[in-house]
Amino acid sequence: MKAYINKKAYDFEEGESILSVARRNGIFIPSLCHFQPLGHRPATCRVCLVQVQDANGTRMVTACDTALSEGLIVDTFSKKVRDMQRMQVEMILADHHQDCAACARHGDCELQDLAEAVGLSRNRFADLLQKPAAGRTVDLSARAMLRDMTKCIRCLRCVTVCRNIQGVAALTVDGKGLGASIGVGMAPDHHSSACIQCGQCTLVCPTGALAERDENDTVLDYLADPDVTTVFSFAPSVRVLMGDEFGFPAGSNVEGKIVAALRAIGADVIVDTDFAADVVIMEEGTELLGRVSQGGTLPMFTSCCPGWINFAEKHLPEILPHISTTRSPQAVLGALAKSYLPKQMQIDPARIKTISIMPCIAKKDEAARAQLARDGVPDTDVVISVREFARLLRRLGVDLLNIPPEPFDNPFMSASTGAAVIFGTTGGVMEAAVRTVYAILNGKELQGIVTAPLRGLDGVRTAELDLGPKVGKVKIAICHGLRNARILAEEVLSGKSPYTFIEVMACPGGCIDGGGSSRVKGQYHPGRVRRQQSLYDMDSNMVYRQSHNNPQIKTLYDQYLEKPNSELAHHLLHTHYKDRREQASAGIEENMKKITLAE
Amino acid sequence: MPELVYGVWDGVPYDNRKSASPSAPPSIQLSALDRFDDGNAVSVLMSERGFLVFDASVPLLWALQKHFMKVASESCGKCSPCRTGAPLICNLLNKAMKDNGSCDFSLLEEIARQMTSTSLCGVGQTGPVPLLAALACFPQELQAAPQDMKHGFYATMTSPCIEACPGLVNIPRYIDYIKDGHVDLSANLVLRHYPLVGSCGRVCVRSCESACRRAKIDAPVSIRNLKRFAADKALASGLLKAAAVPLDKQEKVAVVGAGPVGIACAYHLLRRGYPVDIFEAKREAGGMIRYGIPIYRLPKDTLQEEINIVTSMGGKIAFGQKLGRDFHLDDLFAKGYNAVFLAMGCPKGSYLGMPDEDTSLADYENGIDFLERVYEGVQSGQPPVLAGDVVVVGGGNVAMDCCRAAKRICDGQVHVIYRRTEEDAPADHEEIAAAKAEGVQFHFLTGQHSLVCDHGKITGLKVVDMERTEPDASGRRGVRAIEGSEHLLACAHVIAAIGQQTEKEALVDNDQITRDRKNCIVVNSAQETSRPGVFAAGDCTSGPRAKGPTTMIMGMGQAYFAARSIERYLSKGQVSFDSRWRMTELIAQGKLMQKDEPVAAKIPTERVELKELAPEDRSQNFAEVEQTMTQEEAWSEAARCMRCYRIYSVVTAKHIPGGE
Repeated sequence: MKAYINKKAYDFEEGESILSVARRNGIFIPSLCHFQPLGHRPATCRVCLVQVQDANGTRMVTACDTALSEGLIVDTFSKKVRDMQRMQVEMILADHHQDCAACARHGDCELQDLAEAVGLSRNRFADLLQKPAAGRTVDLSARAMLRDMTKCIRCLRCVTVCRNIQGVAALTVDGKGLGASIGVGMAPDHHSSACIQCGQCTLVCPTGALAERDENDTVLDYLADPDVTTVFSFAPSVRVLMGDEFGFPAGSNVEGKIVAALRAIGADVIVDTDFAADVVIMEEGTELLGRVSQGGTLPMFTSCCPGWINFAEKHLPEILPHISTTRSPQAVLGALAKSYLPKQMQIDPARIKTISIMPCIAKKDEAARAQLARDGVPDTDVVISVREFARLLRRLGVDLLNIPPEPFDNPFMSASTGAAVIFGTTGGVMEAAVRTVYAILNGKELQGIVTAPLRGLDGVRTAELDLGPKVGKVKIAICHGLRNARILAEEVLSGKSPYTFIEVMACPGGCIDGGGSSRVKGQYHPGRVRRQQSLYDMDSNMVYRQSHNNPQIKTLYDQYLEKPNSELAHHLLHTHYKDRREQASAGIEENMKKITLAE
Repeated sequence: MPELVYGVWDGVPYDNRKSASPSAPPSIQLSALDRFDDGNAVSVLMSERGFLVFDASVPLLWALQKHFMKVASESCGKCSPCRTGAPLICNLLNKAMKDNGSCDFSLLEEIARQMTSTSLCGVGQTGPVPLLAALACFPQELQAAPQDMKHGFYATMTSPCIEACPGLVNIPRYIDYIKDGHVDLSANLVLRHYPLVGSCGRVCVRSCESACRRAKIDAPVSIRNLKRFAADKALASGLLKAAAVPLDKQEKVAVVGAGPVGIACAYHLLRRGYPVDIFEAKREAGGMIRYGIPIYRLPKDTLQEEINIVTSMGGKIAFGQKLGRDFHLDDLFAKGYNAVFLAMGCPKGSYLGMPDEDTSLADYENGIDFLERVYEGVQSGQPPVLAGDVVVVGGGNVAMDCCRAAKRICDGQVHVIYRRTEEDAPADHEEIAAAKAEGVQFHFLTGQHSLVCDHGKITGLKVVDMERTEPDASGRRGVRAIEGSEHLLACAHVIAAIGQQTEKEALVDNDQITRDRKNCIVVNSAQETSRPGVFAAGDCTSGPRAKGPTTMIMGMGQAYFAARSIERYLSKGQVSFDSRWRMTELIAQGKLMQKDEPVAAKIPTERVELKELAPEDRSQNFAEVEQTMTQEEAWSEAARCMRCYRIYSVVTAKHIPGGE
């Protein structure tokens, strides 16, 4: 079939949209709500206007949701088309928060890009409407993220990612007219809603409407306070993510540059979350073997991922007894940084502030959990995402690109292993656990080290592993993206799960595509494969590949914890979970009041 | 007949002020517009097709501003041109009203044009049409700044599917709520209209889907199944276990009949705080949808949970109480009820009326009795068994229920004979397909002739072939028997599924209730009977909405309006006027709604069809055949709705009851 775009003939398949044929042929049509990587096409922004002409005459249509038809004549470029596209953007901006310079997305905003693309030169309507955005919700109740609906342009990308990728469906469309925006269901606020704060929505939001809560000022306050000893740490995946923010190719390992940058901004102590990941393997692996040998609740799920923990607590609380009680690496690091580390370094634990750099925003929510504080003092004082850390370095004039790398130097909590590094990708926790569990059971290392079926990016991966004569063959599963996690968890609850151990990472890809990772406009996780490969490469090149072989781990247990799952280890490194399922429906008459339609 | 002064309709301007030969739009029925309510002339009509002015003294600017306020208040806010454009236009019109010179009319026109030509749905696409027509053809009428107006105004937002629904349920809005992630509000929106959301979501005849404009692109939106999805979710989340509304009204109401119509009316009155007692002849509530609709189509636990809404709100049901046998209408007033609602239905099945037919034969049943017998049997765990072949006579949904139920309990073959063609059969065609899949044999253009018996046992039904007659003047084709074509269809059972009747003994002349020749209670559009304080709806009534046995949604729609009438009767002493219903009458009688306008060239998407139990897994039991949608399917199906909203408004000479 053939149609004409800007006087040139193009082939197309039946049912194809004007926009997709135009894009395929390199014809630019400005658009905003459309999000190709998720097949998201709500047609709400109405910016991708083109003029079409056929036997029925001439009319304006949106290119994203209009099918091409045989012989259709499409004009993407006439004055009328450009004028109407521009007016559309003018209308969107009139209804948008007007203070661009105070927005975290300033300079990295798809609405600004769009205004440039249509040649916006005036803003006639904002005054006429008199602060139309002012009536919409600004919800700061969630620990990890903010929901600033004065900046929402109703593209609904967040709703789609929340439903189709995560299967969480916490985000809803609320209100009407100028008040229409993204809500959190019937919950009174964001924090108590079904949202698990994974932050995948913040990766697709074109503006600053859904974004991480920026806590850089807290970090700066700690750095500026002479009475505070700052302990910085960063997650395994952060070393392959930070480069993106400074122009490195995706997946570049910039571990040494991060260490150097932290020294440059005045960090007192720099430790590595990798070390804590090795501790997690010692604890979780031992816990798993305990459950297997003592008839505990199986299958056991991993517990590193705070998005998964929130999901389980809010959506599937029946699964909670199946989740490992071992704390996440961040929480393990926080606990040790305020107990073991000050003992070893002979500093006052009360002066320590732990600052955690994460690919994640749910880690902010995790840090605030009451279960992870002692006497009201959180083990982790502040969490900043990769995006915030990049902003922090820019604010302090540190250019990661040009800073020479430096090694870690903390003798107690900075040694790492290949097992710890791969925690950053889906499958990594499982692979690390298998290496250590095998060694504990058999008194020798697993041959080959790398367990091939555990690698890759398929949404659910399963394998049968031979753990040696004591335990024999066990089935394990790995999943990422909560939609997949729900399937495996429901299988467990139905009593039909064949697995012994299941790894869950809430974000698709795992931490390498976390909700706090680098964002690329118009794309969704473009660097995933290279980031994962980079972590695998680091693993291959490490001196130590197994958590139990990390010399600092040996010291930790020899000199402090005694052994995995010891009483002190339990006290410091394990936690518990709470059923936080949303209350049932409010009832007919209460809901009647919420219906936005005249009776 | 009102005289058109000026206006624009379908883009054509009319101006009869200086014309010797007045003209008017040919496609509409002007005579229907002579008044809105009693003694209240229509001065201006505005819609998606333009505006018509019948009273030149009404300032057009004022009327347009009123109309546009409605447009803006209904803008959903998802698409940019309508969300921002509608309030911008409102602001500019307000400026024009206050200080005409300060309004930038060319900007107003530019925004209105942007809104109509680029909006996502009907609100934005059609809302500014009257305004743009006035700007283009009668700009001088917008120059006068009007003063305070004493006229009446009423506006409603509707759509082809809403107008097709006898309950006037706002279908696009409940679909939107599913799309928006508020499935409980979706069910709740339907709960504004009736409590049996999940039941209606399973068995409705869905006139809405026949009106759905999405059919012009691919297939109608699966409206009924979306409603069922919302209801199933809401039931699971506990929505229907509602807290009771305080029944603080002094006046109490008796409802006769606990079928869907009686339950719906009771529900509306309870919601408004009136104590309600329901009198039901049978041992369980639900009427025809309990006894008449087989369990494989409507599981009775769903129905019961929905009926329980009424009892949990404080409604009381007295069982085994039959009007005309156990009590009379006068007894209810004597007991102190201030109003009575009659919804006894048509509980008696009709026989075929063949010459010398013996209705006492055990194997010759009417469909209503048969379905009740099957229901009681299945509920008690001992379904009846039919030995030998069965012939069901009829082509409606009751016939389909009979043949599919018979198939499940019969060891022989099940036949359906129907005197017209398959296309003419009034049954839902998906039901016919389902019956065929289960192995029922259809004989279309086949009529019944006589029963053939041997020693008091049926051995067959003599049938006759029919043929279609030539179209008559109106284009309708009838059928006639082909002489000499009689032949025997051997069978052991015959089920007549050709209609149902009222219970003659229910009302006596003393009751002062006027009935028509089929003994149906005559009601007006307010569902009032001839006796003050007595209202009626459903199968047992004959009125402007329907005559005699009708659909569940029609009955529940009537019950909704009846409850509004009863409320007015009890609170104001008189049943006044319902502007929303009047607007529907006006749209229908005036032929105001466009039917054939082209739809946008949207990209076709597949209609979600419900998963069904396979015929071999269902034809021997009463398990529910259709399985509810998944959440993902519901989102994708809901996204197919195009929100074909349009706003109709009238300015009238004086204030409209219930209007502005």
